[in-house]
Parts: sequence; structure tokens; C-alpha cells
Amino acid sequence: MVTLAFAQMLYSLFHDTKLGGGSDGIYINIRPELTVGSIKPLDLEDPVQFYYLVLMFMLGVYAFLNKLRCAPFGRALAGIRANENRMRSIGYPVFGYKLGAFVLAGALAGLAGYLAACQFGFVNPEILAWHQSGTVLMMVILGGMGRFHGAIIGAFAYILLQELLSASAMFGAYAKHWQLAMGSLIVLIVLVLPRGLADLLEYGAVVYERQRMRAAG
Amino acid sequence: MTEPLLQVLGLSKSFGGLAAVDNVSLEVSAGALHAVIGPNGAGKTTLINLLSGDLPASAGSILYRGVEIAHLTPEKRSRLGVGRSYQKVNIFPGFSAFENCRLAAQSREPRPFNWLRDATKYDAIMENARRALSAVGLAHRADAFASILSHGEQRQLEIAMSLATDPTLLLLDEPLAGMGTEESLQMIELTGELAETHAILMVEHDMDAVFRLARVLTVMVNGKTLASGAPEAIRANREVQSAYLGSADGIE
Repeated sequence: MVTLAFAQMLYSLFHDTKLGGGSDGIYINIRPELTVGSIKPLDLEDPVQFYYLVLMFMLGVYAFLNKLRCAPFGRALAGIRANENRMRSIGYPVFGYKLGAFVLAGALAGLAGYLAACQFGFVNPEILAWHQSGTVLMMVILGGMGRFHGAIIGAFAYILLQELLSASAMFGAYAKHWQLAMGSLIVLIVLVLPRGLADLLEYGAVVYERQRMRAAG
Repeated sequence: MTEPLLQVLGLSKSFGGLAAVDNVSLEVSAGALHAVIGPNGAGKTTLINLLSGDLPASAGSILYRGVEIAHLTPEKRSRLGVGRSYQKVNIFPGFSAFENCRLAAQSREPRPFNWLRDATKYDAIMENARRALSAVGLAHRADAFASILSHGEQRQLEIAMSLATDPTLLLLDEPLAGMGTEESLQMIELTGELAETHAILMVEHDMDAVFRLARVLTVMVNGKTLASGAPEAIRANREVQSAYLGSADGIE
């Protein structure tokens, strides 16, 4: 709740002052370029190249976080989540670890923000509003908490659903009210799969394993 | 006689108007297990919490190796070599018994913010964790989730976690609480072994265990120390007999 309140404060700050261009935000007319001498190995104006760049970043971050989870730092964070008081009494400076996790999360969110600015060509105060935090939270809940691939599945599912339900070619006049359908669908999915869509993968794996065992006799 | 490892002087803790620990002074030396006994509500667990830093003291001083530690956080005291166990089992139930100990041993890693190297590739930490687990006789349960261990095994794990941090002083809060006869005997034997290499301050209700293990006894009643000294002297002390031992818990 405190995080939300601070985000909302920053939103007001950027929305009501000239600090970041007011409610219009800032337009970025030139995309960042990667050039080596006169050669341009990466052209971010090209949507396909940009897509693969973002995909690479996503896979890289996913791999990094998985590595981190098994490293001493990640194990200590898991311990702090499970039993903070005991972590203190066996000698962990808990605050430092939490700060480390917070800084890392902030840095990764910053990377995402950089890529978003590259994609859309502008940033406005809306990305600080609670709607944005809510959307991200929704993606995580939809995909499944407590697993890194849950967040990825959730993000893809959320955006695909949004695109689908707001397509007037499919739903005509109802497409305008896509939030209603979206909300109902998310509630339904969470009811059926309380641990998110990532559970489908795990069910799938179990079913596959059973069939293989049965086939083997 | 060398100077005591731990010196407690006039330590007090009040919760509102209640003085849970009231002007307690005691000393713990290496190699002499010091037991604190007393009826329920005497402030024994509060005393341990004050010494470990889980609770801040209201007044008084705690000298460890001659240095004041009363203002230090629990993690700093742990790093100085003060290990503790809890009366109520306080472990990581979702982790394996080994991981509980590994995590404890890892707290001594000098470069804690390594983000990429797999935690199981630190040989010294793995070795310390294994040694701690074997010391309490839990090596065969290393891969079991801590949550499925028996109550006695969880108590042993408590001790193993403290041992994995390589402490000099051990604060044991009722290590025998809720244990069966067989498990109690094992734990008494273990505590006796640990007393040879560690300074131990132990709070315990089991009088047999206390008189078998302790070289020094402190009796607490209503937050105050009633008497302190060798077990024989305490046994003979009239005041102690009437205030505590003479009641239902009496000793023969």
C-alpha cells in the first residue's frame, strides 16, 4: 500500500508540474542507435529487430534471475521471506538484503521502462499511476505468483487478451467495453486456476508423464 | 581463572509496569555450563531474548569478551559468536534440514552479495553445514523437509543451525521442551558434549538435566535473581527451596 501511495505521489508530481512536460509527458523523436563506426548492427526503427532485442533482454533477465535464485543472495532472500526473525538471529543483516533486492527490482523495472520508451516514443505521467502498477500485478496473478515463468506467461496472456477483446473486428460495438470482459475472464481464470496459468504447464507435465508411464506399462 | 566470556550487569526489561527481568547480573565462562532455572514467568526466556538481542534491554549492560553488546542488533551479536536456540521451534519449515544449516553457515560468507555462483558450490559452507548436522545426529535426515521432522528432530535442527554459525557462546532456551524420554537423553548427551567446546547459558525446566549438566546455577523468581552458585549450594539453599524447589517441582 505504501508503495502504491508513493507511486501516486510521484504521479501527481509529474502530472501537475512542468518537471516532465506536465500531463503530456515527453516525446522522444529519435530512437537510440547502436552504431559501431559507420556500421549500424541494430536498427531500432525496424519493428522486427526491435522485437528480437526486447525478446533477448527478456530471456537474459529470466536466465539471470534464475541464476540469482540459486546463488547465496537468492537463497538468503528466500530465507528472509520464510522467517525474517530467524535470519537475523543466525547473523544476516536483513535490511541490506532487502535493500539489495529492492535496488535490483528497480533496476530491472528501469530497463523495462527504457524499452517501453523506445517502443512508444514517449513517456507520460500515466506510467506512474496506480493503473500501471495494477496492470503489472494483474499480469503476475494471471500467470502465477512465485515463479519467474509465471510473470512471463501472465504478461503475454494479459496483452493478448486485451488485444483480442478490444478488437472491433471480432466483437463490434462491445469491443469498446473490453475491460468488462477482461475483468470477468481474469476472475474466472483465477477461480479455476488459483495459482495462475503457469499451473497449466505443470498439469500438462504431470499428464504427459502419466501417459508415458502407462505406455511403458 | 580467566575473565568470563559473558558478563551481565544489572540487566532489566520492563513491559509497561511489569519488570520481566529486574536487575539481573550473572557471568558465563567457557567450559562451565550455566543454567538458569525458575518457575514459569520468572523472566528466563526474556533474559535469553535480551542477551541475543531479540529484545532491547531497558537498562543494564552485557559485556561479551569485555565489550558492551547491549545496543547491538541480533545479527551483529550472532556475527560476534553468540548463537541461540528458541524455546518455540524457529526454523525454515519449507526448506530441507540441510538447507536450514547451509543457510546458517552461509551467513558467515564474507562476500554475501555474489549473484551468480551457485550456493552449493561453496565448499567451506557446505562442509560447515554437514558438520553441524552430523554433530546433532541428523545427518541421515539431511534431505527431509524441516516441516516433516519430528518435534525432537526439529529441536536438534535448532541447535544444528546455531552450530553452523560456529558460535563461541550458545544461548539455549529450554532445549528439552516437549521432548520424549529417549530424545531428552540424546539432547542431554549432546548438550554435555557441546559444553566441552562452547560456553553455554541454558534455560531449562528439567531438574535432572540441569543438575547433571550445570556447573553454575542461577535461580530466577519474578524477574530477579534469587540465588546463584554451584548446584550443591543451590540445592541446600533454604530460600530457593521455599520459593521454588520446595513446591510441586521439588527435588529429592
